[in-house]
Amino acid sequence: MNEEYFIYRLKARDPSAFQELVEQFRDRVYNTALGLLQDNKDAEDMAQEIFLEVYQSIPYFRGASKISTWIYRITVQKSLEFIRKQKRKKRSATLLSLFGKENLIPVPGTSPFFHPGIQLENKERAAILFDAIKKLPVKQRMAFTLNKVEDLGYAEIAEIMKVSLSSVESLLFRARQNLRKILAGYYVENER
Amino acid sequence: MNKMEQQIDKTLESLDGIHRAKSNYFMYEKVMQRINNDGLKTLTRQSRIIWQMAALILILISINLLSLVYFSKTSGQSQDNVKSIANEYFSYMDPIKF
Repeated sequence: MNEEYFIYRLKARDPSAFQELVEQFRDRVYNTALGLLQDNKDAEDMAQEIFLEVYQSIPYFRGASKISTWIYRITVQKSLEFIRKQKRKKRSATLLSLFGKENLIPVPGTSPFFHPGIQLENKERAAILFDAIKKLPVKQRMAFTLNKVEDLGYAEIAEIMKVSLSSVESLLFRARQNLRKILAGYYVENER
Repeated sequence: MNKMEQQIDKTLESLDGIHRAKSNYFMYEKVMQRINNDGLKTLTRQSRIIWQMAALILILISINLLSLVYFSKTSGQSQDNVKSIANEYFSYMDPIKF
């Protein structure tokens, strides 16, 4: 697909072009959102939100990056906005619980997350790992998820996150170190 | 390597070979539904803004017209006032009638 001509068709609001875009990227968008949000329903809703944003933003897309990079960027940004919103809800719920009003705000559940693309023998361990990933600092979480869940290379991650290649290497290194610490804590706790 | 480290390594490797999750087959239809609904909402919002602007302009024009009418009525009276004050003040200049 000639990307320039495709962008031209998208900007001209060619309906078949937008349909092609959705068909081509829907699994990537959903899988990335799923890796970050760790909830099927949230990821499904988020994927629709993302394509809605893509549709509304197409007139402003300057073509400075590839379409895939642009869409991944929107996916990551919107997913992280959602995560921050959930954290605020949790904080409010914690505050309200001090006054016995915790029922006023529904809090997202903390059940283990089983990614549908994981092999059966690894599902339990992967659920433990996904829980540990949630505890990483935002940028490390982003980089690790894009690399491990969406299988993106360092160069592409650098473009999506608008950082240097060495920053991505550093983020992934620190993410693995932190995950080791978190997992060590988990296994010590669960051996008791 | 101790048992704990082995556990951690295995857990860190558990995402190896992960397959991409499949999205809803009807994603495009769902997105288009939202676009059409949002389009209606945007149109309604835009119409509301246009109507509000039109109402505001009408009010401003009405105020201006009313002010014009009011001041044009009262300007006749104020001119008379000015004349009578001027006559009184400069009455000393009227020629004395013998």
